[in-house]
Amino acid sequence: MSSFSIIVQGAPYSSQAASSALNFSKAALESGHSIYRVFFYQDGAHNASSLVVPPQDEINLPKSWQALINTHKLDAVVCIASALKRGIVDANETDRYALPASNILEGFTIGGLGLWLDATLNSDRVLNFAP
Amino acid sequence: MISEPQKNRWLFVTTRSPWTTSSAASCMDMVMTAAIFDQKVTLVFCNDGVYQLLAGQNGKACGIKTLAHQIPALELYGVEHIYVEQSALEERGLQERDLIQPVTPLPYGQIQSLIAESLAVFVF
Repeated sequence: MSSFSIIVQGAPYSSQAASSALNFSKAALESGHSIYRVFFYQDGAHNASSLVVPPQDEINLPKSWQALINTHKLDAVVCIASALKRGIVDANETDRYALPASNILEGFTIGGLGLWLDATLNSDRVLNFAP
Repeated sequence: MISEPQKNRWLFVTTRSPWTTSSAASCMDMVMTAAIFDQKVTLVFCNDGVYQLLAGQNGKACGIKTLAHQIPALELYGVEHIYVEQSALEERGLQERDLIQPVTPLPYGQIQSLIAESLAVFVF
């Protein structure tokens, strides 16, 4: 059995990247592999938004990620530079920058690129899902 | 041309032009991070990624940081293995004198070997 880390660089719905990453992660876990970390980078940060409302007949990708993260207690990190640029903030960043609200989904955390580096060093494989 | 074993190196392949998407900049951020944390890094410019190496770029007019200004700093960060896909330059009518600094050209086959031999490969 292998340990994987996943980099997600695509925004939900704009490309297949986020959806493929989610499906791969599910398949890997169902096959008994482990996921060391999911790292959301660049437009991938939008997957952590709690404000996404797709039409009723489409999958809610951020909530699907959240369900997977919580079920398997995954370490899900959003790159801080990517997140702040795109308006994805947690309570700490809301305080720091005096913003009117925070919007990150519970289950996701915000962190630096050092955590991507750590994931690459400590996983058997790193898969990069980019648009 | 490839002077030392690649098996402990992280390979970054950057394939997009610097102005159309944030792909080139996000690759550079990861390259810098890996180098700062003492990883051995190899960077290859392929396809439209070779445009990142053009001299005389200035993003001021469109309000974007000029990525090309970071390239000469790569060596200071410890990124000493920088290559450019030879045929990508030729296909775009570019020559070494058009580039911001001398970069070792590699034929396609050697880039394939780099990919096969590296510890980790990140394609942007």
